[in-house]
Amino acid sequence: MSSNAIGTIIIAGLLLIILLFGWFLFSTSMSFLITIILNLEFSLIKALYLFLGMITIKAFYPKNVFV
Amino acid sequence: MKFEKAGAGLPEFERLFIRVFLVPIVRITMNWTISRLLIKREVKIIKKLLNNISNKQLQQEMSIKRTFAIEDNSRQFSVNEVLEHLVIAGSLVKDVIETLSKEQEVEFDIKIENVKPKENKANQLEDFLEFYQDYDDFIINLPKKQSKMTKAHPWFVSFNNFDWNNFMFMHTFIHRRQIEAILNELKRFENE
Repeated sequence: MSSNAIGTIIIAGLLLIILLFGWFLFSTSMSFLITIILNLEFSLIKALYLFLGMITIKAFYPKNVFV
Repeated sequence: MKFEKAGAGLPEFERLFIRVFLVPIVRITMNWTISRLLIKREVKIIKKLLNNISNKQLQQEMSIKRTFAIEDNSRQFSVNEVLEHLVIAGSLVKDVIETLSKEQEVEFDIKIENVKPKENKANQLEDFLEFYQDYDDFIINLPKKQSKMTKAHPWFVSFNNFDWNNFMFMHTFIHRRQIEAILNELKRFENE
């Protein structure tokens, strides 16, 4: 495999990781906002579950999430 | 040097990696806006890369090592031929998105050998920039609904209109990397 091909895979991988992290920040911010509005205790584990739920729905039912 | 015939496709492992891993993860991480901004970013990078390249160099066909997701037949392109391919394939993708967005069936076949460059003409960069501006206007004005109708990519899986727009980004990115490889080869060729 050429160095260009390896570079392409690395760039694509990094981009997808950055985007996944962006969606994580988005869902965690939403989760944090909800805890403030409803006066609940913020839990990072619950935020992580929310994120995993969001990407699962986005994978199988993409038209329902932030098209 | 002998190359495989047009439309021969990708090595099986690479095709499976894209089909099983890359396509689903791109579907998860993108939305219409992210894809649109990433396409615009790729166009800017290509424009910058070709800033000080002469017309002669742009038309010079170079044999490069195979880059990721590029079939063997495309290893002999000039920069202008890559740009021409992006315009031809992009126009087809635009038609497909337009048809799928109306929930209509795409009646024409998509064949890789039909989207190969034919002219290698001098002012290809202008055509390329004009096409991508048109495409951007088209996406801005497109109702952002995901179509139920799909059209299969010859190498991968069935895509709906949203997937085809994501594909447009990945395709432009893959060929931007090919342009970088051609430019590096041109530099090496001139230093010899």
